[in-house]
Amino acid sequence: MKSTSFYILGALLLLVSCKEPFIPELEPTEKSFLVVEGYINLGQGAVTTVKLSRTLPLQDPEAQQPETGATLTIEEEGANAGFTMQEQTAGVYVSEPLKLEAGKNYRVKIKTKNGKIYASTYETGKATPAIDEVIWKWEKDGIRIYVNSHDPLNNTRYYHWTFEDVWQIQSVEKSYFRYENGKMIERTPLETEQMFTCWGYGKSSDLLLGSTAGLSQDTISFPVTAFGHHTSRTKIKYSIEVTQHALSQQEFFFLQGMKKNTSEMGGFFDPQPSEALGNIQNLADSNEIVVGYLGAYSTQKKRLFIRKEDLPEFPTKDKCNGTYSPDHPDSLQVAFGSGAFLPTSKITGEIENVPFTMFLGLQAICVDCRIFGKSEKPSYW
Amino acid sequence: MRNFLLFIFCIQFFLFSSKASLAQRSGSVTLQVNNSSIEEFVQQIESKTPFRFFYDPHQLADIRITLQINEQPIASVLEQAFKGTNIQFAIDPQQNVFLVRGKEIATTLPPDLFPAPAGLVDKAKSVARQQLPLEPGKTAFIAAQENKVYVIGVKGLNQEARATISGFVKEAGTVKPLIGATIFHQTTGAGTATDGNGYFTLTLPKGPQALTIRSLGMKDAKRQVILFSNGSLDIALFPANTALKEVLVQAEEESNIKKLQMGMEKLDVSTIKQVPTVFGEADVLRVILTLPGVKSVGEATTGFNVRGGATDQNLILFNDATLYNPSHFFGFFSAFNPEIIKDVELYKSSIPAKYGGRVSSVLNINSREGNKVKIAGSAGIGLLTSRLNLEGPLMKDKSSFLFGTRTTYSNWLLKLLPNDSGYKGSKASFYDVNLHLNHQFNENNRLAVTSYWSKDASNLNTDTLFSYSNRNLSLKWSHAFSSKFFGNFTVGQDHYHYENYSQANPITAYKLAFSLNQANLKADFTYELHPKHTLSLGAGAVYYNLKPGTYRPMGTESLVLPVEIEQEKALESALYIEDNFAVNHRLSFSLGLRFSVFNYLGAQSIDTYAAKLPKDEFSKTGTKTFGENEVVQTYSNPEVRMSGRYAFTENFSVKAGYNTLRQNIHMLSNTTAIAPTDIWKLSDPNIKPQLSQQLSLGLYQNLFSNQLELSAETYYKKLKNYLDYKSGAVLVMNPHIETDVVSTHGKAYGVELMVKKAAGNFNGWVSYTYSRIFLQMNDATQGPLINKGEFYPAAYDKPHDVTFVGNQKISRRFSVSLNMTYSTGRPVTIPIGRFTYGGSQKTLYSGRNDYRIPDYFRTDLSLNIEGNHKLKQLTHNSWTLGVYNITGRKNPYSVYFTSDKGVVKGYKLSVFGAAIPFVNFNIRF
Repeated sequence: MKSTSFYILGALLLLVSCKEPFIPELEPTEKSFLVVEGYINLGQGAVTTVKLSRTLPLQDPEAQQPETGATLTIEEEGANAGFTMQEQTAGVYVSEPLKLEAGKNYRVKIKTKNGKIYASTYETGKATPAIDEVIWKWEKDGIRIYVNSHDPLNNTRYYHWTFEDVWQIQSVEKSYFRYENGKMIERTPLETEQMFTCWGYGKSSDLLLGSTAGLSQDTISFPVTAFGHHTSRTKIKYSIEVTQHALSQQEFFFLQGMKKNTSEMGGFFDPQPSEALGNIQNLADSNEIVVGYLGAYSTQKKRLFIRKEDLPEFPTKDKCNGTYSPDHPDSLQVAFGSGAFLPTSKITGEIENVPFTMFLGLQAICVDCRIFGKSEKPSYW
Repeated sequence: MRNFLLFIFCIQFFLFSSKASLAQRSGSVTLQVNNSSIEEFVQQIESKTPFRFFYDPHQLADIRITLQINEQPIASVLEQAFKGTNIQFAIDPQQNVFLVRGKEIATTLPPDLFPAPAGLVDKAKSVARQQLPLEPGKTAFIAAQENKVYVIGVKGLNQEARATISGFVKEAGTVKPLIGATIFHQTTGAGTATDGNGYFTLTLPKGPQALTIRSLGMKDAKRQVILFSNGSLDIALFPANTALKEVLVQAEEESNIKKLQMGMEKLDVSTIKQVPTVFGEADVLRVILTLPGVKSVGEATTGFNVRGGATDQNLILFNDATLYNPSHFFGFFSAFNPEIIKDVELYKSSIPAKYGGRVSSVLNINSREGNKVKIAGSAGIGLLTSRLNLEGPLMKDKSSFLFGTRTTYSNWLLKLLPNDSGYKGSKASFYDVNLHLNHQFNENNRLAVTSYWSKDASNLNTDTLFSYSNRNLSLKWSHAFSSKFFGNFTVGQDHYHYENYSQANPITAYKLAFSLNQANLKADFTYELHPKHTLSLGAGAVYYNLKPGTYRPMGTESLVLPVEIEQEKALESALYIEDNFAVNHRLSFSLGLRFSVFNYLGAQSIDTYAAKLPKDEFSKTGTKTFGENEVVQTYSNPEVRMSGRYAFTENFSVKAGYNTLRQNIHMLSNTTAIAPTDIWKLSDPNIKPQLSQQLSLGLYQNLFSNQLELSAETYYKKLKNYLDYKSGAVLVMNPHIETDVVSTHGKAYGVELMVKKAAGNFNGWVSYTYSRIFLQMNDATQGPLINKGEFYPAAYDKPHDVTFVGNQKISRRFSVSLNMTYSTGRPVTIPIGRFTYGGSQKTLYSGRNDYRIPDYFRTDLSLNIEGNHKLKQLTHNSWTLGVYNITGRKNPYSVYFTSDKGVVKGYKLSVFGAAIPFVNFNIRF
């Protein structure tokens, strides 16, 4: 059977084909590129914010690498002086409140701390049309929020939205006590209140892009977000603020490419890799890769509230497990020591002339709404 | 007709038997003569053998013979002795040898030489006697004898100075027509070649003429004719038996210089079988890849790229049937069974006007015809595949069949793999079946049927099973209208489909299917208008019907919603005419024109998009619907095929050509090779036909009496409407492909050098190719520019390629083949960093195709061992042993990147990452 083993050997060599790590040898200059994120904000008192960072090697576990110490200037084409921006936090640069106008051409010039000078191409400021309305619809699969807008001049065509949403959260019961080292300490009324009412915050994570390029009228209705019919968001009150920007065609395509950008490639079903080159370049070396696009446009915002009463009846059903413990260090430790249960109230009484004290408690997630949100009430609530 | 065929049979029988009987009776001759006179020479032989010589001493007085012979038959001795002289010899059964100068000796065939039954022999004799004279143009000779003078036509029929001979060149014995055999008239230099049916016509001055006939794999032959008027002459050639030392194979020795085609490579199956391949299985496409100007993107890919063309730009014809996926098992094997194939032609530069529909090349694979005389067969056992072939007559001498099948039995091997190999649970299987039938009604009517069926299934170690299948059927009727006008009528149906399914998760179990059907109808004619003009003309139509994608749930638990993409239909019709114009024996031209009309047909709904805007979901303005068979869009335009040749000398020629080509079916692929997830898409209102123009120039020099062929070709090509992909394009199950592709234009150029030694104990070739292909997308109205609108290399741009293929015969039974290839790694787009944008992690990619995978280098070695050459044995056996990728270099096939816990990791995959020994056992019976 010599020949059989020979066959198997051949087949094994074939099938245990080699999969080896592949680390492409990059040019030394191709290891860290400037990433620019932001836009030139037009309008009365508008603040422009630009974030600078650097790309990291693929193998680097670091989350991100802010580019600090750069000098940023917003420049108007034909004007002499620019507006300098200040570094607020690491890599985040903000301008003074300015009054930049639609129709004029603006760019941002960036001088990094290693002395290289970058600039975005001059972009003509675009006035973003006002949001007509932000509405919600009760749809088959949940509640969906739409932003509706139009441009009577048919000039806008390309839209980008972001949103921030907030919803009120209420704990099942108030907590009046705190367990600490075998003892119960009374909470302050403020703390009790802070644990009882909170506000959850969310924001857009995907790039929300829409266009009316193929339509005869520049009118758009775009679904910005959706959630289930019965979620904590609409249990009491929900609010969403949608921000709208009018993009240039180039920036729209840049962001579209960014949206499709994934890290999977080379497989049968994987999409083709996307480029992420925008309108910024090194003035001395136009071949240097710079990621980002700095457009110039104004900002329009609109807020929507959804109250519990606006919606069909909500089947509230909180599942909360409870516990209790006599006021004894050992048993308190057993009931509340882990932190999974928080004490809510105290019961006192007498059994056969012997006074006793009992503490009741519920799961922490039913008592402390700060787990899900913040206690500070938003100004517009 | 029946008698005629019997006659062929008898002649052949006689020739074989006479040889054998001579050798037996006389034994062999051993002699040594040095500058001897004819008397001394004859005396030596007569003293040692029973042969007696008869000759005129005065006529042969000036002959001097120098010869050293050891144990050779008398005929061979005489052949060598009088080589280069005009002395003819004939040997009769009484062992009398006749020597004559100049004239031919037509010996009558004595009856006792035929060991066949007496009745048969008598019949053959009477047929032979009845041969003369002939009615013009009616019955043909099978001219199998060199020394015989064949009389053609009727003396004094007309006063014209010239007359036309037509007929078939066939292989003696099997009576298979020989395609591309050249018939050459030495005195005037006139010549022609047989067409696809082995048919030729040649106009010559009347009177006695000598013809030289050559064909690949056949012994060169000379025929003497006396031409009185138009008539036919069928010529039977004998296979070149390479085991006999006396025979020098000089197949197509002049064709490189003489033939008009440039950028055309022709390989016969014996060459193909010499090149070592993985698993020892002769592989047509792998050998094609060793030719200059032909490349592949990776190891396990059978798709090939010709002169900067994409893998979908090659028209692959198997006996006129179009094959869409020419590979098995993801490219490990080609779809063509080597035992069935006769030869392969690749047109990469000047493409004859009869072909159309692809912009890069035409690969024409011709199968053999089955043996018309007796049942024969072969079987092979390899590492992973086995094959069985059978052939034989259905009606003796009239019709034959040829059946071949291959299958793999690798699944049991895959089961034996250790768990940690990563390939446990892999499945792979394929089979293919070929059946060819031939029938000759009479000498003017022949019918051939080709059917091909293949099926592949593999899961590539994923939970998805990929399966695909080719199914082809074609029917070809060949008809000779006259000795100068010949036609082929072909009808066929081609089918390709794939089906991928996954049942790993019952909830998401799905089946994804694609299918393509095309029905073909065509008529091709050859007409010899004038001795200097041969016209090819014809018409054809292809009806396409594609199901671009169906996505269906599998099993009862599956929640997958069924999706089906609308069917596509189109009709592509073409007319062509081409004139092969031989100005003189140095200068010739081929001028062709092809006009094709492509109609995209309904029922179909077509999305319309705003003008001057990139096509995407946002620029869509509406949808137009079209009714059943309504013409949605028509594309048409002429294609020009021109080439010319000037032979400065017998051994040096220059050729130039200009071609335009168009293509209406596009392959869309996430990989650069042909894969079972590719989609073929027809041109439609949103996707325009691909166009190409090619200008080429070639120099051809043969050295050492055509032993060594040198060629240098250069080309410049322009491409229009080649499809590349937008960033983030998704191609599978996309109902509006146009939104994910961009139309690019391209330029390709290159130089191909080749040195080839076609004959001898050592044969093979070395080729070097420099070729570039660049694409450009600088039209901002199509969307973001690719690489800033500059030219970028296409994914299959591989500038340098050096290939060596060699075969050394060590003895009659042993030969060694070596194959070495080097090429530049292909370009890829790679991730070069990551960053955070809009709150999420993104990957930064290099410019499109800015990087390359490592260069490719491979050496293969194989040893072919033939069994013994005893004529009479039940089976003939042969062994092939070898090592594929002998250096064990890990040539990357692909690189890919996956995100693992937020970290992007790159991998390179080499398919044959070690030296792979193989062994193959073949039996012929």
